[in-house]
Amino acid sequence: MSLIAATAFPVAQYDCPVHDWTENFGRSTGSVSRLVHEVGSRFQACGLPLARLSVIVRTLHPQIAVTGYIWNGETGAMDEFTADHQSQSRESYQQSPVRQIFEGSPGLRRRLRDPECPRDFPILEDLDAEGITDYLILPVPFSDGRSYACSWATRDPAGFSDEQVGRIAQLMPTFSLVLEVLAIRTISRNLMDTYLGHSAGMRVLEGEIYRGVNETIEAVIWISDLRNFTRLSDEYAPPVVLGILNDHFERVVGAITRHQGEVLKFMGDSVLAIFPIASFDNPGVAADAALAAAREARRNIAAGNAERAGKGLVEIGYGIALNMGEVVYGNIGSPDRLDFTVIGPSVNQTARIEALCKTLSRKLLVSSSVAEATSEKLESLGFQVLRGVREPQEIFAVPHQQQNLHEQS
Amino acid sequence: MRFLTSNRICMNKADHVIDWMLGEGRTTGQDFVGYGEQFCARIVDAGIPISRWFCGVRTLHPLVGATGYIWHRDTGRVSEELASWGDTQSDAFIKNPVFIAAHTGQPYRCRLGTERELEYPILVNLRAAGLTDYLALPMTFSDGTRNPLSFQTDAPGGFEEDDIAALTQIAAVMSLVVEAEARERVARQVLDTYIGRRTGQRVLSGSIQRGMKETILSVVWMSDLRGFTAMTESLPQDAVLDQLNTYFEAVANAVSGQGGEILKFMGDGVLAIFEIPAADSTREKCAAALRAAFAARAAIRKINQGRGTRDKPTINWGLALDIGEVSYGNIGSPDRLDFTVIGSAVNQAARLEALGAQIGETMVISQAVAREVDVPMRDLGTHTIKGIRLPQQAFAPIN
Repeated sequence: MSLIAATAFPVAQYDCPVHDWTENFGRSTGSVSRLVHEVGSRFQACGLPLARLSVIVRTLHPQIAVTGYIWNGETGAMDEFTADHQSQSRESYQQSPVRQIFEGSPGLRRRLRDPECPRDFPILEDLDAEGITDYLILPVPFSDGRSYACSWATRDPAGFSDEQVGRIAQLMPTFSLVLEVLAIRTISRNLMDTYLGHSAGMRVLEGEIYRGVNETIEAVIWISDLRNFTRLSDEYAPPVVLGILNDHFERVVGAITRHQGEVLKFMGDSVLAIFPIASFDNPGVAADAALAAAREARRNIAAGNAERAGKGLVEIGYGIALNMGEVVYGNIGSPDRLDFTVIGPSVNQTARIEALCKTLSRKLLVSSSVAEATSEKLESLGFQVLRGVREPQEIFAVPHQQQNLHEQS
Repeated sequence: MRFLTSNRICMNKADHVIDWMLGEGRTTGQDFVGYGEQFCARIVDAGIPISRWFCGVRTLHPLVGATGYIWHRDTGRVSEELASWGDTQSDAFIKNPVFIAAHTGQPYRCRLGTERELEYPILVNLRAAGLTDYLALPMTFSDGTRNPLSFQTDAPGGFEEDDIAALTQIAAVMSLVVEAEARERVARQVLDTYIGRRTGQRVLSGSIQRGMKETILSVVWMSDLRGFTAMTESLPQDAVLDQLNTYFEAVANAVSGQGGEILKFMGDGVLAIFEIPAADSTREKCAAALRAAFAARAAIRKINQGRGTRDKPTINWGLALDIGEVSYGNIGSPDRLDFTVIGSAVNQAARLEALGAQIGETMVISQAVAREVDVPMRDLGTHTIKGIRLPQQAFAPIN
């Protein structure tokens, strides 16, 4: 049985410019939001008295399960809302017509001026109060087998006519397919942002997916990790270890991102990030940004440790190292299993500096290249031997006094 | 049941095909080959006499530039042709009207047997093979990129005008179907490439929230390059990249060749697992991991025979295998995630690998793995491993 036949409303035979436009040009809008806007205004221009058109589709984002796009037929404005992964257990969803559609309903219509009209969803009272006279919600089937939803509402005293409902039903199959095309674009971008980071993700989606596609850039390199992670994961059950790790990553990544750094990867308990010089005015600004991010991360971690102390839990130790230099940024790996990352001597040196945090009992260590570039006053800890690095390197730290301020401010 | 401005009768021919494409066809659950076969059969059922169909889809796969799908009425089957990046630049590719149409965005029709067929050598060949009419209808995607689509017939006299109108209608919807398919595929390929196949599939099917979904028993593989830091200091950048890529490729081939999955590259390190789905497959998976270890070692030895110069030093690597319960899932900050495994077996493998570097052993096998395999082992003694309470006995394969 085709989806057309399965919809609750018979598809009549209309010559419909909105349908033709959607089929041929709908996707060139480039986004679900613009498509919904265009379809709403084009339908209105054809005489459909639309007060509102809204579409809810999946987003495949770690914090957002679905996104809703609402076009206001009176103001022409678009509004977006998101629902997280827990939203489906909430009462507002449980009692909504959207749930009926998500669970397989072929669609439903409520003519609110009709005294016989069932008032079976709380939202119908709200719609009535807003002057909506007729409300139609239909499934938007995606090829993953799931249905998302699309609703149409009017304030016309007579509601939608049969012909208008027929035109809407006729549009739905094509509209759904175009919505899926555009939703997948958003999904791909979300996935890349989530797993590769924003700028690496953009580059991959634009086609930089070949081994050997890489470039040499100047960047401040950030490597941080947890102290005693091996012991922690030997002593605690995986869920506890995981909780500690996630909490730590959240505190660190938030700080890096807020200062325009890009997190490249998580490796066990460590974070690798860069602050590309090209994203800042000059190396000094980049170094200042990385140091500001480090300061913020330290505050965040100190706050977490204060919470832990209150619960009688052990403090989480960590180290952060900053270095500046040339790195190769791009694809590396086997031909069909790649990593988008940075490599180069500066990256390895950063890892070695990070290892010194433990030996020197410091939480933040900085290479001479960063110390020279930054406007901050740092304290030299003298020349230190880094494993695998020929010449001893001068290492800097935030002076102790300031270090305390870091954690308190 | 769709009426558009033009000829109603001709539109009827397209209707059933389009209704299927927008309805049932969306959720066939088949791959694009199966989809193409059903699609073409429906066109023939609708009375449009196609005998050959071609559809091209560009990909983002690192080894495949584009995929071509070709259907022949005689077999009823669609065959899939992968065009590597190089091929899409080739003469055979460029001198084909279907690609020219995709390039210009203009439809192209040629009744074969007319003088126009001389424009492209391939058309002469098609006529010789019995075809009578050729129609290319480029598909324009939402980002403006275009992909090739063509229909051909062997009907005497070629396509009727209402066939052309119907195919044009069908092509408009086909183009949407192909874009949805292509974009889904790109998402899948990118995830396969950067986070691994198994993991990528989970993410696409919705496992994208932070948290560990499951605990699995696995053989854990941890390998890295020895002396990598010193090497990055002394070698030119290209040589470092070459060394890394060559080593990663050897390891990735060995691991996937034995059914393991690379979870991630970490600097010069590789973390992979061989999942043990049931307790009675422990021996089998340990054996597979060890075979992969031997395969990687053999591949690297072979590569090293051609190396040893200043710019191409030999690859010096090390590996540890351990076994244990690992938790598998999303980790990270709320909106920047990594799909990985954690667990004491992972840390222990990392420490065993470091131990191997210290005592000059390429492979270090934990006791838990060593007792599951029939390969003769040398006892490397008992070692205290940083961060792990009990001392661990370690082994190395004799050969």
